[in-house]
Amino acid sequence: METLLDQTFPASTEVLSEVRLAVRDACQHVCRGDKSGEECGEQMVLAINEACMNIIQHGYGFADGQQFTLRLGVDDGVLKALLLDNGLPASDGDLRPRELDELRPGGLGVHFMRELMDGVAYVQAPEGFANCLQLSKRI
Amino acid sequence: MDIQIEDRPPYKLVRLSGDVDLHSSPRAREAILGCLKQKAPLLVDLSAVSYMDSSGVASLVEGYQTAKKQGLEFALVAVAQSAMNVLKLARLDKVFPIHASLDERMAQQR
Repeated sequence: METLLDQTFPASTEVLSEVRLAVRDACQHVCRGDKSGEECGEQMVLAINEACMNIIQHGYGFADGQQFTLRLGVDDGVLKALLLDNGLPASDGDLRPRELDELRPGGLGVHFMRELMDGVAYVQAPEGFANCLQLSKRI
Repeated sequence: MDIQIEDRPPYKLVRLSGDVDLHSSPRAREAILGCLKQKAPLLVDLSAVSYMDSSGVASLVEGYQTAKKQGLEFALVAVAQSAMNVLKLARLDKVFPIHASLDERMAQQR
């Protein structure tokens, strides 16, 4: 897999804009230079942003001094993002989207990830991490 | 994110600009709910929003629901494409009243 990004961030809401910038920049190197390529990059940015939000908000409960790692790469025409953290244990059961017919604030992040990505799943975390969420999208 | 609040009788107008994300959306929520506490109908201008995530959408949903409970109008105006894409993704583009521009809504009011 060709690595586009491998960076550890503080698990803080302040860092989200920095994450988006890094993902946008990395995607520019692999997504097509036309409108559909730009859309693909923005979809990756939004999905990864939502995954980071979940880590900060639910995994760490906004606790100070925590961090997560984002690895982004491309493999055989598929963009893959791995989000690694040491927050509360998470599983695919946490990736069930809610019914959109029910109008209420919150709970949209999983829906966004599932709509925008071709694959969203927790995979075996490498040593040193509790959770590893994999997002994948064919480009 | 920057927030501007204006009086546009009979409306309060909240203008959001920049990135509305988990870091900034609590301020957007506070501004929206603060205006509704004053029992004024509310327009939210999203023309200068460059990015919006699900927490920004949640702030709008909460505002919409609060206004509805109070019998107040709540509408979005001049929604930037970046924000519209997210509203469509959440299938809220058919739920929120959305006006093409502030002028359009004000003209309808007259």
